[in-house]
Amino acid sequence: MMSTSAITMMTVGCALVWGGLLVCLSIALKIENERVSVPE
Amino acid sequence: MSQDNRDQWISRKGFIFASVGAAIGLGNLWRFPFQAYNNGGGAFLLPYFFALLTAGIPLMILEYGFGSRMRGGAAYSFSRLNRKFEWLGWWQVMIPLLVMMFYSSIVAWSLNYMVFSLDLSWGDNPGKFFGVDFLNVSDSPFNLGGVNWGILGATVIVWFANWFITKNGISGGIEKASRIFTPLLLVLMICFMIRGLTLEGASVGLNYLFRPDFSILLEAKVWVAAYAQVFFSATLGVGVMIAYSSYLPKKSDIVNNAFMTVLANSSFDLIAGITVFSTLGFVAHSMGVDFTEVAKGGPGIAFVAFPQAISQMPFAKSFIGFMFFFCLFIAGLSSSISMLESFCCSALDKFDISRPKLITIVSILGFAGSSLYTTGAGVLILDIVDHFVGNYGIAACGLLEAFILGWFYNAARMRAEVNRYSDFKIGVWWEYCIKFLTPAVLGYMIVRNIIDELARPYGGYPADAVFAFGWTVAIGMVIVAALFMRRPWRNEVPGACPAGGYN
Repeated sequence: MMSTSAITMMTVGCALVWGGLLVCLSIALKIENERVSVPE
Repeated sequence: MSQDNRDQWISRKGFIFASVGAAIGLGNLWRFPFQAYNNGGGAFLLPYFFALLTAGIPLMILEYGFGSRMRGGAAYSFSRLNRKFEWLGWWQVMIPLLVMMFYSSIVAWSLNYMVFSLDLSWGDNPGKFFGVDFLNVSDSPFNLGGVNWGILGATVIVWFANWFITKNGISGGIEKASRIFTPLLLVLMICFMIRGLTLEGASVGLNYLFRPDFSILLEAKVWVAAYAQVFFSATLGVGVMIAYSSYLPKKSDIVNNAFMTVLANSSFDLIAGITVFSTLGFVAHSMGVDFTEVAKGGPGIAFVAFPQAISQMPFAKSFIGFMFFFCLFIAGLSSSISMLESFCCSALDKFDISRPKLITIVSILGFAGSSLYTTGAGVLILDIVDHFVGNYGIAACGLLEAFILGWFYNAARMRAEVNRYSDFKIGVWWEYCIKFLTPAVLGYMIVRNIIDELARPYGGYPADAVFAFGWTVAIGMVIVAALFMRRPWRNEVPGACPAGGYN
C-alpha cells in the first residue's frame, strides 16, 4: 500500500500540473471562440 | 526568401504540438523520475514547481518572445540585437546538431528493440543482452571496437525520417508530423501509465517516488537539481524554441503558449515518473529483491528494466514491448526534428541555399557523425559528450541568453511586447526572474560543476578521454560558432535596436 504522504504528494503534483494545463487550454479556447464570434 | 515571406505555422494547435513534441524526449523518461527519487521523493516537487514558475516558464516566454519579435533563427535574432552577439546564436544551434548525432543512435536502439520485442530476444538477462550482445561495449572510449550494423542501419532510418519531415518545411513537414506524433505519444504514455499502475508491486515503486523527505529541502543541491531538470527538460537555451516561434504569425499569443508548452512537458514528466516507478516496483516484486536494487537511472531504464518487466507480464508481452519502444521512437523523433530545424533555421537565414539542399547536406554530415556512436565505444563517448554539452554548453548558453536579453534587449520592453497579444499578461516578477534569478542559478550550477570536475574526472573515465570528447567538443563548438559568424549574410540584417541595445 502507498503511504498517505506519498498519495498526497502525487495527487497535489498531478493536480497542479494537469490542472494548470487545463486552465491555460480553456483560456486559449475561450479567447479563440471570442475572436471567431466577433467579426473584424 | 525574405524574413517577412517565410513559412509559418498553419494553426496555433500545430505550433503547440510541435513545441511540446520538441520538449518531450527520451530524457523525460529517465531523468525526472530519478531526480525526484534522489532528491527527497515527493518533497522534490516543491523546488520543481518553484523552478517551473521562476525559470522554466519565464525562459520559455523569453525565447518565444524573442523569436517571434525577430522573425529568425537564433543566429539571425541575436545578430539583429547586436552583431557582436551573433556567435551566441550559432553556439546555441550547434548544440542540438551535435546532440542529434548521438540522440539519433539512441532512437535507433528503440527501433532495434521494436524488432527484439517480437520474440523477446533479450531472454532471461536483459542487462547482459543490452551491454554485451547488443551494444558490445568496448573497454575504452578510444577502442572503437567495430561498427554495430544493426544500430547503423536503424540510424540511417532515423536520419531519413528526420530529413523527410524537415525538408518539407514548417507547415508541410514539421507541423503535419507533430499533429500526429504528439497526441499519439500522449495517448500511448497514458496507456502505459495505467498498465503500470495495475501491476503488482506498483505501490512500492510509487512510494519511493512520492514519499516526501522535507528535511532535504534545506540542501542547495536539491534546488539546483530542480532548476537543472526544468531547464534541460523544456529544451531551453539551444535555439529550438526561438526557431519555432519565429514561424508564428504576427500578433500571436506568447504567454499562454509558453505556459501550455511547459506545463504539458511537466505533465509528461509526471506520467513518465509514475510509469517508470510503478514498473520498477513490479520488477522488484516479481524478482523478490529490494526496490533499490532495480532503481538505476539512465538509458538502462528503458533498455534493461522495461524488457525485464515485459518478460514478466502475464499476457501480450510482444505487443506491449513493441508499442513501448515505438513510443520511445516517436518521442525521440519529435525531438530530433526540432534539433535539426534549430540549426537549419539559422543556416537558411544566413546562407543562400534552398531548404531541401541544406537539409540533405546537414543530414549526410550528421549521419557521418552519428556513425561514431554505432561503434562499441559509442555509448562511452555519448556519455562524456552528453555530460559536457549539457552541463556546460547548454547551461552557459541559457545563462548568456537570459543575461543578454534581460539587460541588453531590456526585459521591460520584452514584457510589454509579449503582453501585447497574449491571452493573459505577465507582471514585473517576470523581469526579476530573467534579469537576476535565472542567471544566478545557472551561474551557480556551472561553477559547482566545474569544481566537481576538477576534483575528479567525470564518470571515472581516463583524463585524456574526458579531454578529447568532453572539453575539446565543448570548447570546439564555440570556435565553430565564431567561424560561422565570420561568414557574410546573404541579405543585410536589419538592425532591430539602436547601437548599444535598448537601454
